Order: sequence, then structure tokens, then C-alpha cells
Amino acid sequence: MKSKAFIFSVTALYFVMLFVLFMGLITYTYHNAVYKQTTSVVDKTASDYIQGNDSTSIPTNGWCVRRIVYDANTQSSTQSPREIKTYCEDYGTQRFI
Amino acid sequence: MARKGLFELVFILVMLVLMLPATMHHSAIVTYSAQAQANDLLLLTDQAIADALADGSHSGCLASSNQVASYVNNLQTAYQDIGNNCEILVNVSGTNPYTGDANVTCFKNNGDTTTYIKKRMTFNKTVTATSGGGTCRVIVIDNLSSGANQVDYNLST
Repeated sequence: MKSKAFIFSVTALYFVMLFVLFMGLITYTYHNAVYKQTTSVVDKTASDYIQGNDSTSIPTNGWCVRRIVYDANTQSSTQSPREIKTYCEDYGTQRFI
Repeated sequence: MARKGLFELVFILVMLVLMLPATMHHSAIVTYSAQAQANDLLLLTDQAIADALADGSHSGCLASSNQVASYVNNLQTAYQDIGNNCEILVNVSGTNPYTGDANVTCFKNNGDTTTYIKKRMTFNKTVTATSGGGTCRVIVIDNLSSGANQVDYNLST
């Protein structure tokens, strides 16, 4: 017959294990990114601007990137224009930015 | 015997309560697009600072940083107009070469996902303004990029 101390130890160990399990689950849920985006679509900004045709019409099965282009070295003593460049293409030629 | 299972019940309840905040919102969520926005805006800010130093120095053909705040503010407005919720704070310290830092804070909300990113960039730029023949030549050198010229123009005063 097992002693009470042994049963108590196993039970305690069981709850410690449960506690660790719960804390792991909480940490995973709390800190894990739930929305990972690898492609930039319209209204998102890409890290690189792909020189495109500046098309502003969004294709039915496609995606667009929109960026501001700023060239400080324009030959003007007033602020350079903040040009908005939009480039769209079909999913058929997916690009990851 | 009436208390049998009471500890287990309390234990489970405590664990569920601890889990509740994790189901309500998420912290430390970083989406690629938000990071790209912050990085992108920092690079644009660097351009805006160079532009402001050049244009501010052209007026009077004397090195000046008095246009920086205005130019950065205009850039921030343009960036927000295309749907990006970002703010820029630029601190300019010292006189020629102008040093300082730019802080970009971007906030993004995609449904249940909230992203909040703050990035900081330092800069170090030297302005040379030379007048002659009714024109003023302004050069802005980025000292952090192996002395690259960001702006170089010669315009009438």
C-alpha cells in the first residue's frame, strides 16, 4: 500500500505539470503572432518599390503596392513632391516583398 | 468529504482566468507590413531631413535647419493620407554638421490584431552653402553613408 506522502507527492507533481502546461499555453497564445503577412497588398506599404507601370487600377485577381517616393535632390528650393506610386499585377506573377 | 475536488475546481478556475487576457488581445505581434511601413518611413524621413537642410540653407545661402520640422510634418501628413497611421518625431542637435535622431511610431489594426512599432534612426549631415554669381550652391552630405551627397544643386537666390 502506497503511503500518503507518496500519493501527495505524485498529486503535487501532477498539478505542477498542469500549471506548467497552462502557462505554456498562455504564453504561446499571448505572444504568438496571429497575423503574418508576407505579401504587401493595397493600403500596405512594401519595403521595396518595384518599378512598374504606375497602374492604379486594381486587377480582379491581383494585388497592388503603394509607396511614397521622395527624392531630396530635385532641382528646387522648395520641398520635393511626395509622389505616390502604385504598382499592380496579377497573382499569376506573384512577388513577395 | 464535501470539500473533495474543491482544490481542483479552484485550480482550473484560476488557470482559466489567467488565460482570459490572452484570448482578448495579443501583445508582441509584429506583422511584416507594419515593419515595412516603419522602415520605409524612416528612409523617407532621412530624405525629408536632407531636403529641408538644403532648402533651408538656400534661403540666405547659409546653413540652417529651420525647415526640418515643417518638411517632416508634410511627409507625415502625406504618409497618413495613404492609410498609414504613423507619426514622426525628429530631434536635431548641434550645428553644422547636423546630428540627431528620427523616431517613427506606426500603429496598425487588422481586425483583432493590433500592431504598434517604434523605430529610431540617427543621422549626421553636413551642409555647405556657397554663393556666387547670383546663385547659391547647396550640398548636403550624409556622413553616415561614406560621405554620399544627398542633395547637390545650384539655384539662383
